[in-house]
Amino acid sequence: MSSGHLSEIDSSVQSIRFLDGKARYPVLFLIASGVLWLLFGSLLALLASVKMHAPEFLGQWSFLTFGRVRPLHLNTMVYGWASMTGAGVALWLLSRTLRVAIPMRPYIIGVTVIWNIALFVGSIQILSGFTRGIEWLEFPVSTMIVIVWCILVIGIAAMLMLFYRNVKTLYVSVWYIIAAFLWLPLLGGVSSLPIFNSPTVQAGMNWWFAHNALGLWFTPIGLAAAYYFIPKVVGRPIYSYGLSLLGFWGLALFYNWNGFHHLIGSPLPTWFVTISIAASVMMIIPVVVVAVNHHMTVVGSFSAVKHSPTLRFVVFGAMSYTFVSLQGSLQALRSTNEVIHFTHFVVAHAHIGMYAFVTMMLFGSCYYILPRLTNWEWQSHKLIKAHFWLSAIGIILYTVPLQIGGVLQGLAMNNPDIPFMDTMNLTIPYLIARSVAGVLLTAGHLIFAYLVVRIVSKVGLRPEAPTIWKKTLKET
Amino acid sequence: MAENSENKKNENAFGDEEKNDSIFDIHSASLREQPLPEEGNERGPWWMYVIIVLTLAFGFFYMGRYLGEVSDRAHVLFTAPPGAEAVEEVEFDLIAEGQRIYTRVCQACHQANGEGISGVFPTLAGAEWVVDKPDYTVLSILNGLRGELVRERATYDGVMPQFGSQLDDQDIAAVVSYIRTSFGNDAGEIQPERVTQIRELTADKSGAYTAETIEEWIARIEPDLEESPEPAED
Amino acid sequence: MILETSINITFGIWVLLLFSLLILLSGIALFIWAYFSGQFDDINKGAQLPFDEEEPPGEPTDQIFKKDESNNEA
Repeated sequence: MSSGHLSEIDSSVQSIRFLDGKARYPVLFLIASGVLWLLFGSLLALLASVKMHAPEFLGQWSFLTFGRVRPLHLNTMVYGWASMTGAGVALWLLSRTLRVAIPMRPYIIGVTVIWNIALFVGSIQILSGFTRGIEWLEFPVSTMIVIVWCILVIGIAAMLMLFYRNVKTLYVSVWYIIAAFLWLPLLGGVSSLPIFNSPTVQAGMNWWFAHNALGLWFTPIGLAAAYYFIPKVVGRPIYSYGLSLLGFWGLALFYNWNGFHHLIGSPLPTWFVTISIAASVMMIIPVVVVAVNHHMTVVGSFSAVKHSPTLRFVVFGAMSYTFVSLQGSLQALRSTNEVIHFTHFVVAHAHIGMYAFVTMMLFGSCYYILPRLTNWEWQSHKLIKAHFWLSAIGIILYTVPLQIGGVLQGLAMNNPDIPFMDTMNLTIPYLIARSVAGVLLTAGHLIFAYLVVRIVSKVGLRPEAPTIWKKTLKET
Repeated sequence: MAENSENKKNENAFGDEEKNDSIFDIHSASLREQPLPEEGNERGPWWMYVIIVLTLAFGFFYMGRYLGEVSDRAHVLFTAPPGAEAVEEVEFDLIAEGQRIYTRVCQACHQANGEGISGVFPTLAGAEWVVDKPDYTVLSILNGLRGELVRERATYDGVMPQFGSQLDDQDIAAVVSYIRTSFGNDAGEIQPERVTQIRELTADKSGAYTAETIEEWIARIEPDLEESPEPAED
Repeated sequence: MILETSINITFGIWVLLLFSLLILLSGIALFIWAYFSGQFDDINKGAQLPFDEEEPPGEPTDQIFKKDESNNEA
């Protein structure tokens, strides 16, 4: 084994099992915290969803009103579940692809404690009515700065890994993750500046931040996971490394101006919105490149997808990424926006992005990472399959009816002859479908949390042998 | 394909030692069983490049077509196609405009039904000044009216502020036309030109009228006014 | 308060523009660094990075469900 890049790696010290051992506590803590916030966020989501078609439900307490429950759902999911788990997955991926142990491990654990406290304080603040009132930025600025600082510290650990790496060539996942750790603190810092006090400019900042948080923080982490796990699980190198780099720089080039397409028809200068629409359409380029790359890697290996819990989730996530991005490019056009703006269609679109893509990627990553961190097996294959199907069917049941309802709602709102109450009533069946889907998703999350608790605490029956190193164990 | 690129790599000018015994050679046996790409360096299907070129073309076309004025000025353009429907003339409706102004300006005192408040704000329904002598109404709107006002059924003692500076002639004509045709009144519209004329003739009057001075002023301007509007048709 | 309102309302727009360009520039800077540090010299190598001697290409991992079935058969 004296060939190419493999010779760069001192595998006696930097074996993946050694790296996973070093990654154990910080990554486990980040993922476990994320799962905790996932459960809390799911509860809030159910509450908010039911309130959409039964407004009086639990409305007698001010802290459980829609205006507080819904923003908190968004914030706990985004800064709790997706960011924490995403940071953990990103650190693990860096450790694997850069062949270096995670540094600053006590700091990362300490920062995660602070992060959890900030989320807890922020939750109380939002529930008691202290909010900035800006979507995606409802946490008061002070709380938000603490969270951004936590991500910044973890980002410093990521940069240290980059500098002390044991491989020369950076894998595409590394590009995505490094960029994400550069961009998010920038976004968080700018959005906290006290200069966006005029309503129009504040709205501009709002969507500049919110869309970039998705596109320059969660999307890179999700794609980094896909670029690692698809080749890894299928056992075949990525179809084209060159194309994967094209995809990354396409994202870096086109994404950061996308957010203003949320403000079509607002008094923002027209050229802001026009460039944003053009950039949104241009996102087709990196998306198609990434889709081709992923598809061509997986194609022909359907059995590997079927047999791997990780790949089921990751392939579902990758397909959703293609779908949601192409849909987003079309949505950004003024003519389509005329119908779907201010409707439930956009809510469903956001959930395809944050759930069907990002969350499914994170689930898939967790299914791969946790057995390797804990040296333990997942307790039940049936439960994993149940989780997959609950999540997959749940999110489809969530988005498809809601998008149909959203289009009908938009057409009705554009028709001045239809009274507004009729438009409202028209959406109710679709909103009920969403609540049903929410129950399925929450059930899936409970199963996932149960599995995580079992594997982390190592209770129950130990499997006869860890299947993940099947080959090695057979030989011994 | 794969071999070609490997050979080319050997000839490249960087002088780096290229190693041919890559991981592929070692695992070639297992990899050959898979009929699909092994190199990790494929170029992608042709239609992908077509999509890239078309997307770029569309993006730049869109920017060129709809960029608008590059400044920090807030403006909303292009939301409706220019042309046919944009030029459609809307006929100005005195009564509808008058109702809007009445709701905004007059209703607080004279009430939504024009009944006023007894003893303070005169009723407009069936009032002599409104139905038969609209010039009185125009004057009191222009400069205001204060002091006791004795009517057949009631006496009022309130203050009518002046609106001459905030309502233009068309607004005043609209609101007078509105009250002349509402609350059971059945008189005709009055035109903005008449208000303009009255405003000019009373230009040197300052301060509010009283019940006496308004009579004097009407007498003074009456000869210069064009013929009065048609009285109510009952 | 006075200080806040005295800032031109369009000031924020230019700040957003500036930081968007900064993000764009960071991408371009990464690209330039990648080019000059030889990241693109041998594109083939990149695709092999997830693999090593322990988990070589051609060997699917994480086939948990498959093992389940083979156990049932055995």
